[in-house]
Amino acid sequence: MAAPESGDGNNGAARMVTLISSDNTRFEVEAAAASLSQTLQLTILDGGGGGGDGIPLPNVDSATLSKVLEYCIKHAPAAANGGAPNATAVDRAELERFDNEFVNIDQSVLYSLIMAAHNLEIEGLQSLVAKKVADMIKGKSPMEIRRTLGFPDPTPEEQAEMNAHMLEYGWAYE
Amino acid sequence: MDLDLSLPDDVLAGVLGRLTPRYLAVSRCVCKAWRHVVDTNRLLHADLLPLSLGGIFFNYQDLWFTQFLSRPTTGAVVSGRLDYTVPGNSDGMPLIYVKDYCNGLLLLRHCVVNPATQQWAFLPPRPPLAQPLPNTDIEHIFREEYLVFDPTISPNYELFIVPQIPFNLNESEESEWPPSTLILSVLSSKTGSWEERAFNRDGVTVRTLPGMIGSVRFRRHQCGYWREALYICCSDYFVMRISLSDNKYQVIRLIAEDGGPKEQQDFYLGQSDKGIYCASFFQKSHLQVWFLNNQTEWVLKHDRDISPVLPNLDKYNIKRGGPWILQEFNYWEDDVQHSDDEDYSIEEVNDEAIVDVTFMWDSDNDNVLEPGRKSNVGYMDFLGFHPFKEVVFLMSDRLDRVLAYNWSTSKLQDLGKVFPKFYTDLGRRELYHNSIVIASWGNSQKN
Repeated sequence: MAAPESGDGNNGAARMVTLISSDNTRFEVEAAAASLSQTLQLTILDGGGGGGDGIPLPNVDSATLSKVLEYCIKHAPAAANGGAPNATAVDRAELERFDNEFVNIDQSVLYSLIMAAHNLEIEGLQSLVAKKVADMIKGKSPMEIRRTLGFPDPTPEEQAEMNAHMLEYGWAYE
Repeated sequence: MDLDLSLPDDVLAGVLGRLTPRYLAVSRCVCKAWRHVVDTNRLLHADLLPLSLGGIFFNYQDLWFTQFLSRPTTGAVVSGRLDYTVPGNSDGMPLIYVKDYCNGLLLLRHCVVNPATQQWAFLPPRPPLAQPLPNTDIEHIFREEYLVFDPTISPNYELFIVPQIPFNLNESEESEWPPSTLILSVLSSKTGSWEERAFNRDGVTVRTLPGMIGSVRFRRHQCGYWREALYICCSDYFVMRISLSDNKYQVIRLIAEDGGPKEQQDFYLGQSDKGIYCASFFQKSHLQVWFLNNQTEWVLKHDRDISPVLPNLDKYNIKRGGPWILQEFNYWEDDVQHSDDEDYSIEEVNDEAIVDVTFMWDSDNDNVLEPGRKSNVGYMDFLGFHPFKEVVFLMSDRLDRVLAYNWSTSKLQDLGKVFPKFYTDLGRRELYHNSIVIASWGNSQKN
């Protein structure tokens, strides 16, 4: 890759950066997509991540990083428009459809995504996965929530504590 | 995935912060880590929930200013003064009249207001009835408005217009009411506009109009809100339960239907400790309290003549103020009554008030009245239910005092006087019963 020119963004070829997962897989993506991560944005603005250097991400494995980048690439054009105030309804509907599909995933992947979105500070992805987990909690009893999220069964002491706290906000239970 | 063990607190807070209070309260019970996150981040806005009884708003015959009998601790925090909702110095005399209440919000003629925060919003003009009653002249139909606000569900409030069963009809021809699909005008604060909303009948009970016109004295605007449903007493024969979660309605018979109403029996529907209750007085001072179990069945909770616990009126100074304080507002003579809104002091208005700001009304212990002689008892008047306790508020026509009666302990307490001085000075002492409002706010006091 050619070294980035100063004042990039309006040049013909988009600037690319390289991200390196915890298991040493290299991902080359447009700087605009990677910049959805607040954590990466500063490094990229400083001109880092280009060419052979790459930015190491010791907390994110390759499977998760590839999923994260799928999100970033899809959302980068809208984000470049400053939250897409002039996006068409079709564009917005398409992004919404993508988001719904995107979080329709196994719980272990969802968990890795929550942590990656948190570590990389990708705001849109953070709220997307948080909403997904919140939807899984909604309308369930404390016990059902524990089972849904794979908690171990409560000990008798924990069970007694749960029961006691359920009395505190009686209006929450029909 | 082990969300309890592995997620950092701020990530978990990001997830749980997306839940409405109802689901948050449930999540709080899942495990210690979740409870910690909910509590330390103050996610559950428990402070929004009315947990503390604030006082009673009274309306009077021929007086269009609502007065506020406040608990002494409330008075320092919440004023019943509401004229800031009337803009400017309009030439017309403002009518400041509380019509309904739900979970901290008051419905006035022209606005909805939270007196604890003094936030308020104008109401758009009312639409015509969405669905007129059959065989009735439009001009003879009374409309009642019911406010619904549930901070555990949504920060928005709604206002329902429900036609009242008239006292007489043009024709005696039978027609079904409410119809299988009931259409009501509903104002949503989210959109700020009125819309028509359809409620389908749930259950088999069918009523017909002439048959529903009541045979006994019945006060309008008896209602209660409980767990996403609005309960409206429509006549002395039935209660309508309007479920807001699934847009259905249900007709529930009122208690007296089977046994036949007793002579001079009044009914009062309202929300209290565990749900919807109905109280009834007969033979002057015999009080019955019924609880609506499983939305269908009335269970008798209290049944006794309370005259033995009523105070001896001969020894009772009925004119004295306190312990609750009647905040008196005569807005038309405003300058005389209140020179400075910020510096509003109770003594200025009510010179008889014995004000002790540190006084906390303990509905279990303080101010319990000594029983007096039965012969002094007049007719008892029912004012309303305590929203969180097994307590009803009463008034005797021989004693212009508000009394609190705990129906589980049979204790009676004196709260304060009913009529403002400027009103009794006119020779008047008549309550307007359509909208007596027992109000509570989510401040830090609990009772």
